[in-house]
Amino acid sequence: MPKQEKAAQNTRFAYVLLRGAVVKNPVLVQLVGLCPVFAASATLKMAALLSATFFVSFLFTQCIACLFLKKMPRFLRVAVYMLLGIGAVVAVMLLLERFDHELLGAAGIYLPLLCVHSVVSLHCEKLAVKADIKFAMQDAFATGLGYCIAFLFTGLVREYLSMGTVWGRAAYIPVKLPAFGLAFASFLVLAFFAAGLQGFTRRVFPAHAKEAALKISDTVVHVSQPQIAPPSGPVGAFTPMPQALDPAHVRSVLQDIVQHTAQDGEAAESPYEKYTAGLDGAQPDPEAPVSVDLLEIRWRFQRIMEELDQHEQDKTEHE
Amino acid sequence: MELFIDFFVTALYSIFIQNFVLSGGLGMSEVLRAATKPRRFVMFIVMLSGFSVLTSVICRALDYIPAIDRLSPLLHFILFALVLIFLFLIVTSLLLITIRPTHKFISTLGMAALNTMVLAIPLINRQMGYSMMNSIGSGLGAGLAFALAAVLISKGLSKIADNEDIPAAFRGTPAMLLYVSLLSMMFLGLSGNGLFG
Repeated sequence: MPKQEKAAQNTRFAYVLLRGAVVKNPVLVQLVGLCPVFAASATLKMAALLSATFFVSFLFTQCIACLFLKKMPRFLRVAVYMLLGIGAVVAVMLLLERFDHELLGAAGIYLPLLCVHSVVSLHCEKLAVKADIKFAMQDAFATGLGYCIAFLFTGLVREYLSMGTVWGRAAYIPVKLPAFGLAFASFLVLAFFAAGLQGFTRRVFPAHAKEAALKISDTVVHVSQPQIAPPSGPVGAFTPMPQALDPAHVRSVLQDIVQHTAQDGEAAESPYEKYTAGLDGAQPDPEAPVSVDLLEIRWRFQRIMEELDQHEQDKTEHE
Repeated sequence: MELFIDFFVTALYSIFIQNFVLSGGLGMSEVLRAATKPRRFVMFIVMLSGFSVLTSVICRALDYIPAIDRLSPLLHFILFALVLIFLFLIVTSLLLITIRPTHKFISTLGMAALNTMVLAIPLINRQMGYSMMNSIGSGLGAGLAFALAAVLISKGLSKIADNEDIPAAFRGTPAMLLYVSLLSMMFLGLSGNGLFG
């Protein structure tokens, strides 16, 4: 293999590794596959068991998806990922039943739940079924590594702080914090890891910082009456039309709207004025809700058309 | 009346005391996704609740067969997982034949059906020795627990997203994780557990 090609491949793998394990870390950045990390990272041994099972299952599923599932319908593929996950999990459970029954019992329902891991379905669907096998395996390795590191460190910190042990062996600790053995502490630990990773990414890979930021869609829906200010100048005193707009075209559009909103009886005055006239000459309260109905819009459009006509007439006279 | 109380109490227990999401971490990734992208929120909750109730009912019904009831935990897990897969395939096939949904809809359906929460419910029901009504309550409670968690997180995120008082390193994901951690601690309090043993 030529030297340049080899160097390019190494660079590509380094990039995939950086992206999968650091910039797009599944736990600390993408926030996927959190269930086992949240609930079953109380000890390092448990974290090691679950992350190793996940790693093997992920590599295996991504490989199969890339090689054989590209032409399968999407909904069938998702079911196949779960079946492959069941196979991997059952193999590990059978091994544990034979060699470490206690650890199997401690894993509870969280070991079986690895068969529906969201990292697996996300990466297989987004990448494995669209890429070549080499790239798919590189991505699986990088993502799996990132996941396992975050999982293992969470387990290590929680076990050390809650029990004062590391892998079951006593370690020096001035004060034990038993609360870190509870599930909520895993997110506390992950939050500090995520902050560290965010700071590291910003400093070392500033180009990727935006990519790693949390993206939130609009989460608040404002349901309130729009506050519309009363017209300040004389009626019809609107800002001049931009030069790019063709007045004839604007007029035809407005004409259409006016025709479609025509009602019995002409609006002699603005509905806004009608509304304020009902207040016995008092100035309208700017905080009060003002309703702008179709009639008001139509009336305003008519004024705009008059303005346009006047503008064209002036223009002709000037010429 | 007793059946209704069984159902109601189990549902309430699943939502507030043993909140599957914030106490057990089940479906945590999906909750965070729903909270950060709430457009398909209601549809997702309906799908998830439907699948959790149906899986609970079918798995509990299967356990009434003595031969199945005697199976080991490992075989139970395989059976329940297969039930979930078949249920997903049947529902998806029926939808494809009848209403021809979009790819995005099918994708959302897959996420709502094949996740840790829906698979965990029948396993938990069996561990707890729930009856049929308890199982239905547990399934429905799981969906509502999911909705409650997603609403709480979503509401918190709207405050966190543009908060300039948060130190720069903690803005975004770390702040959200801290907030979820506090919510989880709150549900720990509701379950009667203490922080110091």
